[in-house]
Amino acid sequence: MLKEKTTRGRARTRREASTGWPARLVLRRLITAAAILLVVSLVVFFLTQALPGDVVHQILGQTATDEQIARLRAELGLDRPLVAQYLDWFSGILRLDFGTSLTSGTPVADLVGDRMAATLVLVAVTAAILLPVAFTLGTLAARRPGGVLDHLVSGAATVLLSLPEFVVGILLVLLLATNIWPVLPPTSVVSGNQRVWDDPRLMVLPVLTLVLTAMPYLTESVKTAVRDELASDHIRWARLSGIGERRILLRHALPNAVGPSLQVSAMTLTYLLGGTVTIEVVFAYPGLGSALVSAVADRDVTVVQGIVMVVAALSLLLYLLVDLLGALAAPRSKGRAG
Amino acid sequence: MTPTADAPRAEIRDLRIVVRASGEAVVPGIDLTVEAGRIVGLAGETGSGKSTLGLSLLGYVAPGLDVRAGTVRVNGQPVVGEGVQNLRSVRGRTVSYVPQDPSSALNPSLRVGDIVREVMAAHGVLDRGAQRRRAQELFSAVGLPADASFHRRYPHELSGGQKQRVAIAVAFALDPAVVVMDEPTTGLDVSTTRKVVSLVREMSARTGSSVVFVSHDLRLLMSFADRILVMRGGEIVEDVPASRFAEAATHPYSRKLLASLPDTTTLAPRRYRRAGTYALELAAVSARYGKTTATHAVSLRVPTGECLALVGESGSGKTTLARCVAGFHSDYDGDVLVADAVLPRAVERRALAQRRAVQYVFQNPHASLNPRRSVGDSVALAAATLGGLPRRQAWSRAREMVERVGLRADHMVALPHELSGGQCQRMALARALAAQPDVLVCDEVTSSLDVSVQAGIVDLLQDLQKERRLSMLFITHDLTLARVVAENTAVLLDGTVVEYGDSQSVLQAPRHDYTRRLVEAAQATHDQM
Amino acid sequence: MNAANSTPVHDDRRTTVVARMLRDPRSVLGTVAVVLVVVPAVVGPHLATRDPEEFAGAPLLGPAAGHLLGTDILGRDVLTRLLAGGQTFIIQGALATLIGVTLGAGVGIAMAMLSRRASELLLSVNDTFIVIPQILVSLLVITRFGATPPVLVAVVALSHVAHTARVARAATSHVASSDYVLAAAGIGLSRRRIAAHELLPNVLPVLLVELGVRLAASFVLLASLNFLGFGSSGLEWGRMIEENKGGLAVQPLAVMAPVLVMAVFLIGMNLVRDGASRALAARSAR
Repeated sequence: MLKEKTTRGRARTRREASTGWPARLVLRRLITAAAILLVVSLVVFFLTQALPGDVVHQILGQTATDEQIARLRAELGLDRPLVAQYLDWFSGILRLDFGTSLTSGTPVADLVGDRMAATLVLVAVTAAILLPVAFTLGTLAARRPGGVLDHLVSGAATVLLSLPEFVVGILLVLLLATNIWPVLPPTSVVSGNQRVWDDPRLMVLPVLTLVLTAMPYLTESVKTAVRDELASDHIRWARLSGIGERRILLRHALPNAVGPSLQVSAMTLTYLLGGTVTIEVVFAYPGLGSALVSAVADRDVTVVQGIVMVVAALSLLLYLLVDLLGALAAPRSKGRAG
Repeated sequence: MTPTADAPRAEIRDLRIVVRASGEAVVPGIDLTVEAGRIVGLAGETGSGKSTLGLSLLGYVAPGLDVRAGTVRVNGQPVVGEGVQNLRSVRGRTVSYVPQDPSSALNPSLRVGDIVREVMAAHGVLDRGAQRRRAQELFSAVGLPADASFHRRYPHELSGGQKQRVAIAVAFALDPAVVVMDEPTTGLDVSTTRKVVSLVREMSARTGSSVVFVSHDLRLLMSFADRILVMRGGEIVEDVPASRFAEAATHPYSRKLLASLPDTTTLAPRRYRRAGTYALELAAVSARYGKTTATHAVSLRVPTGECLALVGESGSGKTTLARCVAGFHSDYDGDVLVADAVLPRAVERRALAQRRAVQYVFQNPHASLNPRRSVGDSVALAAATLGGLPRRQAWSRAREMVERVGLRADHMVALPHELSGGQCQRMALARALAAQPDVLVCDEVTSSLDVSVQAGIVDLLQDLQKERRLSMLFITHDLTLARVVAENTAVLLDGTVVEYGDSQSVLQAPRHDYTRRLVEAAQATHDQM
Repeated sequence: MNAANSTPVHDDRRTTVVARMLRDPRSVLGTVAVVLVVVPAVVGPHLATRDPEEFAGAPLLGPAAGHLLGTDILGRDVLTRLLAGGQTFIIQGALATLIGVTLGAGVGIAMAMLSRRASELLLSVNDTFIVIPQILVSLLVITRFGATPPVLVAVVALSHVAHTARVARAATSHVASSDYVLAAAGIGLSRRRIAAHELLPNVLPVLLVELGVRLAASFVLLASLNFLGFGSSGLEWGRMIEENKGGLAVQPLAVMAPVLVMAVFLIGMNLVRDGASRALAARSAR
């Protein structure tokens, strides 16, 4: 068994040494991402268009006239072979042409543009608050296992993690917008060509809800990572060598805890994107999520396909970005695994 | 730093350390004085309190333990008891520490040069030039490459021995009064261990630092320490000069420890052998892991009723070979023959009779027994499937085997984690015996056990071998152990057999350089006895 | 302990998981909370004296004698709807979890049995689905097939497969590479007996914890879908919250009643799950 471990360990170290270059690492991740996106496009297409059963009847309902059916059929290209349909659709997406909405007739790309910006602003503002707060709280809680902050973080995790985002959102509305202390607008509806970030008050509740729902898991993960690190042999040795506590936390514990925590951060960001779907509906926030939900309700297949592809691509991008950051920031954490 | 050259470097007075939760004493009350420049060996088994005592010199007690009474002073400065202030400035400078496992003790994200410089910076050596010069000096003193590129390496780019040298360099960086070393050679192979301990001697002589060397390896301590303390149940039961330990140690427990060291003067008796019959034969076995080759065309033979020891360091391929024999590793070229018949490679392909013929005992006894099945069931299962016995007979065969390996029937209802390591290894042995094998493969079966338990297992194996005419393939990293249990010895280096013959000639007239080094390393410890 | 003859230590690790949980106040609290929600939800539809769709009074009335929790935005009785809305929700969530975890465990165990290369390839495909937000896939399927009960159960079940497969694969390969499984092959056990007696009992605890995690996740996803307007009966708790959130300022109970019921249920379930993991961990701790 010992033999087995060492040979494998050596092989892995070698392999990593050869791929350790940031450029190669980035390239590898990008290729993976492209492959994943291809799989996702297949899934999206398969689930909406290629499954047996008549999608047209599903969309138009049982009362549709033959003429309407024929027109939609042609519009979706359903009379052509499946492979051709998929290639058309996918090559369109690569050119950022997502087709036209079945209900409004406007190009999906136009519809997506502004809303994507609104959603990204929501996620970005949330992340900008969430990441530093979660890392600070997690680190502080880890310094005193069993302390007040530690219990607070675990307790909040149990409660907040149990609840769907929309429940947290509704509770915040009750608390801060309608009944108890109405200081904020309950919805983020915008008029005319106003952008949602023009009035920061409109952003507060959606951002707060996302921060609250995403925070416990991330904080808990950071806490665990830092706590494990603080209990490690090398920190004990540093203490026994007279290194100061401040330096131990900043130079010894944090850098090693950042690797695993960034992984969780990446997951959290993609989770945020999923979370925006219900949050945007709660606050009537003009983003991709609320557009997606109304498109699903209207059976607007092309819009649904477009938005799902965009959100999936964004999730992947965010995930890769943070993952890459982690790999570059703490290159030694990989070596340790081997 | 020292008031007078001869003043004791460390003084422990009436130290009492207890488990906070239960109040049970880990160290019931100890006095100890460490003189300047001496190497004090602290021997004892797991749980004897030797590490707790060692760490108290740094004013450290493990979480969950409490100091109830007593004082510890290092170089006159209190670290435990009244008057303790600013432990941080004492640790690393007046008293330093070398940890057990250097791979987990070196911060993986710091370069080794920075690790050394950091400790100097923490104790007021702030000039970077001075730090670098001292680090250079230390690295060459401990036999590490002194070039700048080595300073820039990360711990994972170093071998186990190099990491331990880095840790030693750090410990001696500020010429401390006392260096506490907590089993610093565990996990290192024999020749690296030798080098590390002679380095410790040298550094101690060079700097005048006293060393408290905690180890379970009595033989090692006898080979280089000035004074040996034996601990048991938190108390020092023996305190004699190392050179005279063998004669002067009087406590029954010390005598027991001494007795359990493999006696290197007697060789395994030669046994009757019918010419030309081999219980096990390896013919040009080349084992692979994917593209890496672990062994290169290894050919070995185990005559019926004899034992062949396969000696090598970790990574030499010895366990891989053992796994090929058992069918647990099937990616190999060449053949494994039992009673002159080639065995299918994977154990799943082997007929029941072939599986019965070869039984395997693992290194880690707890991991080799199903955690959710009583150990008795595990033994009975072997008797039932391989012995073809119905339930009731299988259980009584199991009981017979369990009693044969020195356990009682009431041990059989236990789950693995309810037994000690030694008991578990006996159970694993009982399971192997219940199959009534022709060949027993023992993979480092004693290396995860305490010394006094090891001796019991080795005795048992020898008895069983005689009694049942078992043929054995005995995998070990310990040359002296090979000499005791095996008629023949093969030495494996990087997957190649470099030495192969009867144990006596291998040990007395080694032909290969590597074997010679191993023998010298073993001899060096032996000569001190 | 070292002497071969010392008696084995029968410690309390043998205590059953249930007994252990009964001694843990958090688990007990969680169980009580879950029971307090599940029992009325199951019996509820039979207790109701009204039709949940019946207009019982003016919209958004506060609590009164006839309407203990007031009326909703259309003037229907909140209590009646609350009692009627839990059954399908709980049944669909539980069913989806069972299906999803079973599928995921199957996929994961199968992955662990494959060669390392094939397994790693499948794992990276599998991980793709973990990265993509689950609700997207659910909405896709609902667009195509509508929010009928089988579709809802299917999408929620689907959302678990990738995650459970990952957990099951890790647990299985961990156990499969253990010495005691090798030893079992060495003493002649057949593949099937090894799978049934060595692998499964040691993988099962992990799968049980996963079942708990997934059960909670099922209800969260299902409630979210209901809230977004995709429910099969139209009177799920999530739907009630959505319908009445416009009247929050006037008749908060119409929203708060389902919110609180759901919160008690989900928090209770998390407490039970954490308690179970703790109990299992304590039992297998060495």
